[in-house]
Amino acid sequence: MKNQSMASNKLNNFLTANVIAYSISALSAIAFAQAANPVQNNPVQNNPGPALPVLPATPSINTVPTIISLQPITIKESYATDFRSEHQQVSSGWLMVIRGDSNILAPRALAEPLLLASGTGADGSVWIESVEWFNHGFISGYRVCFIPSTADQKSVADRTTQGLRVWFGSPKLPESVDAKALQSELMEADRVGIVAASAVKVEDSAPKVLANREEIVSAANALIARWAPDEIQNEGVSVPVAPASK
Amino acid sequence: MIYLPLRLSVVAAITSSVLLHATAQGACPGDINGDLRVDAIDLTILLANWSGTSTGDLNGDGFVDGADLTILISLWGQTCPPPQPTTEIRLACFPLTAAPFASFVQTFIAGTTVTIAVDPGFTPIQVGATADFFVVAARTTNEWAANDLLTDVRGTSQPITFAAGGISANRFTVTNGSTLSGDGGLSVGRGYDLVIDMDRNGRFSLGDLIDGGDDRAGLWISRDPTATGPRAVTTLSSYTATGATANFTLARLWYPTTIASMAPCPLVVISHGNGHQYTWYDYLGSHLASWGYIVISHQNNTVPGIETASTTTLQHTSAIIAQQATVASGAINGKIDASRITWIGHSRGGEGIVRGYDRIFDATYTPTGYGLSNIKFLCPISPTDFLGVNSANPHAANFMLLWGAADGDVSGTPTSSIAWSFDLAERSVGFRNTVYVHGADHNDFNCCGVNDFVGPSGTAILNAGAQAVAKAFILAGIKYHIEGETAMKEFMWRPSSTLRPTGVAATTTLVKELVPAASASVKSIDTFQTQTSTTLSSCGGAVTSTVTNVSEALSRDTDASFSWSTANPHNGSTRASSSDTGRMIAWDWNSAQNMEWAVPVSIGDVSAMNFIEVRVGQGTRHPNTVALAGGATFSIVLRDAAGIEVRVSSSAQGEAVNRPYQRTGDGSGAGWQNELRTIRLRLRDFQSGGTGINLGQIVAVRIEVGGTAGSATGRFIIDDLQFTKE
Repeated sequence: MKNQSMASNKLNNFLTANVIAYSISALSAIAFAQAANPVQNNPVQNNPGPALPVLPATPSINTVPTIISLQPITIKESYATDFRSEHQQVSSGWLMVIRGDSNILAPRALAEPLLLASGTGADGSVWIESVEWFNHGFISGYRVCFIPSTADQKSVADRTTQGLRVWFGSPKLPESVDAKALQSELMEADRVGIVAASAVKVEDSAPKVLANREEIVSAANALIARWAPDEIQNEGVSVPVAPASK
Repeated sequence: MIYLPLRLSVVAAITSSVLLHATAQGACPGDINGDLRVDAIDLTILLANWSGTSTGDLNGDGFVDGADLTILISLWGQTCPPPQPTTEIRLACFPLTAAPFASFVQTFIAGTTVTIAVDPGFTPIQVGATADFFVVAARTTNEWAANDLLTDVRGTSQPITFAAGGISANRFTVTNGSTLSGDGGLSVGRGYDLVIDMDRNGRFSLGDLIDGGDDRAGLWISRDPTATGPRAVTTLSSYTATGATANFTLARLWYPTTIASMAPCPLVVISHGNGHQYTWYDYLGSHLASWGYIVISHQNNTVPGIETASTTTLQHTSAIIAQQATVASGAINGKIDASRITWIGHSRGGEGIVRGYDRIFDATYTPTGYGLSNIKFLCPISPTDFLGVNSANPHAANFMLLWGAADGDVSGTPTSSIAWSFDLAERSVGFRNTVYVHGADHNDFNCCGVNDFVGPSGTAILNAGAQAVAKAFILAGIKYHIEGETAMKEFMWRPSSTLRPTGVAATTTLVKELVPAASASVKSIDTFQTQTSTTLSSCGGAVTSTVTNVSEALSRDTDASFSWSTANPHNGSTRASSSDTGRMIAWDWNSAQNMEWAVPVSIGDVSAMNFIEVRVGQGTRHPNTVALAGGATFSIVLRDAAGIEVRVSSSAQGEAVNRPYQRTGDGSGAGWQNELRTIRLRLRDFQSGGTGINLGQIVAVRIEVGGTAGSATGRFIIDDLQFTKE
């Protein structure tokens, strides 16, 4: 495995990513069932065999993950998001767990696909956000994220899950993304036909009120402990993603 | 010949009797009174001291007797050469099979054979004369002035007898050289000065030869820099940094267990890459701590990008300085030397540390507890280049880049300059060196990242191989830049065939560049920056050539493919993103051909310089490179104002320009980026054997290829042709 050529995997990974892009929504019901016991779900599905996981080929963009859960959040102390170049203030959003393919979720030094979310506000306006994420989910298949409601968009209270779309866009550094780039991503999503999530489980329809971003991080870490325990970095429980024999 | 300032002080310190004795026993046996003749006066002195124990004791047996009289009579009437001042020369070397027959160096790995050589064409010696060779614990200039007594660390000196036949006949294996200790405490090695006591008086005196008479040790015996250092290490598995970005507050700490009894230790900060963890660099943290450093590895906010990553590096550096009284129960309180900081970053973290440095440089970020001048060394490992020259610029910082040729992530692909780690190195205007590691992938430099190896089967060096390289070269860099251990510099440019950390496998190919900062220690002939013409060098001299397909241009592959194309003459050059301006020259040959640079009078006096050097690599996938299928050799010719030309071959030094790593992809053929390495030829090699060339009046430098000068065919990428000092 160590000497396995990246090039030889490229075609297969490309095909896999595209197949998943169009089928994963339909499989969301299965994903829900699997999600009942996430520990049993990982990591072998993404990386069969005992050897070291191999970095997948560069993923195809415009693929759609499965939304596992959503939790509306409001915070008393706003913060400036690092996932936009404008660093807009954020005071609410959705804490989200998604499940995706390892092609997409693999950590890379080079640009990773943006994680994007879009929907329609109660007033009918369309919004799009650069989603923050707290872990990669390469091994587990689960990524814990936060869809911020940035200052130039509507509050989460004005948003519904109806028509919510979450997808992976162009590979870019999130900190380099501005409103113009997001609009381009939105147009591209419309062009390629990114569809709305067919089923979204909202944990609690009433926004949970937290003090600040640190409490969002704490809540996210609790979800990582549940869905992606290999990525916990707290003292004493840090788990490498590869066997020690590497 | 170098006349040491210390000579006068030594002369002033010694007595006339010693001088007499020295002259008699040294280069001219029999000349007891030092008048350069063996005559009746000497006989009178000898007889006057008959049965004595010093003056007149020509054979050194402790008595003035008939044996001494016999020697004097045998030399009767001889005219002696004038006494020489003490002479600083290079003695330590490794032998070469062809001219110049010895490569003079300073650093040897402990346990290896050490050789010295004397070049009769450079240093006057008397054939048949015997002298005593001493290995002395290194002394500074002042220490030599204060103490000229020669004490051999081996217990006894080594007699050597000069022979006819040039330098090759005057090479001597240092007796017990392989047993010389490299134990320098927290220093990686130990220094020695080498003295040839020509007059055999047991003192460093007139006519003696010395290697290391200045503050530089003549010989440096280095322990294996991959080996654990002398201090036990205490690890704090995790602590929380106050003031760091939420969710990125954890860090791991390593420090010498005996730190309470130590002076404040330099600080080393490790910043991981995207998808990596701060717990993945134990091998490096514990290694450096065992050599006397306080090391932290911190959580790094890499997902949003480089700016956020740099912020966490900046924050954590401040935090450990601010929290030293409480972290690890105060064990490191007062023990952080915040004036000497090293930043190591991997992947996005590698670009992050450069960005962090740049932010301080640009005054867009002001850290607490330290400043720009306190960051002494930047060491990115396989860094990305998202930001370009304006935002990820190391400026004049001391800089070292490690990069794995089998990297499947920051791969160096011609399709994306984000993956061009070497951009960052080319931007450096300080001291910089790079180590291009064949067979290493991106995550071989940590414990646990995904497998991204892309390379020929059987070439992978895996984590152990790559981490041995990282341990050795990062330690060497820190010791050099932070501690002033100048001998460690040789690890940065000498080929592995002559200097290899023991823990780095002999089969591991390392391609090394070293570029000193522009300063008085550099006389540049051509940087290919300020003159775009191929017939004019950056120093203003004419350039003529017989080589073919010459192209001087940005060091940038322009067609997103490594397949060879005549339309892309700098194919394989991945060192100048769209924001960079670094240029190089490329050309090829199929017969005896050359390129010659005229050296203007203004820089033609290179008598105070030590090397002629050039960065050179093979043009990847070029038909000539493919045909050569191996290392490429060449010669450098110097010409002086009198028309004397001397040629030194790279192959004589065991030097060749590496064949590109035979990685495939991004086009047809095999071979990855153009791998540049620094080849340095010592200027005194051009004088070896008494060539008579005048280094004070060099008028031309010529690189010759093909024929008898080097490889029959090939294509070179060349930069930074220059004279440099040690």
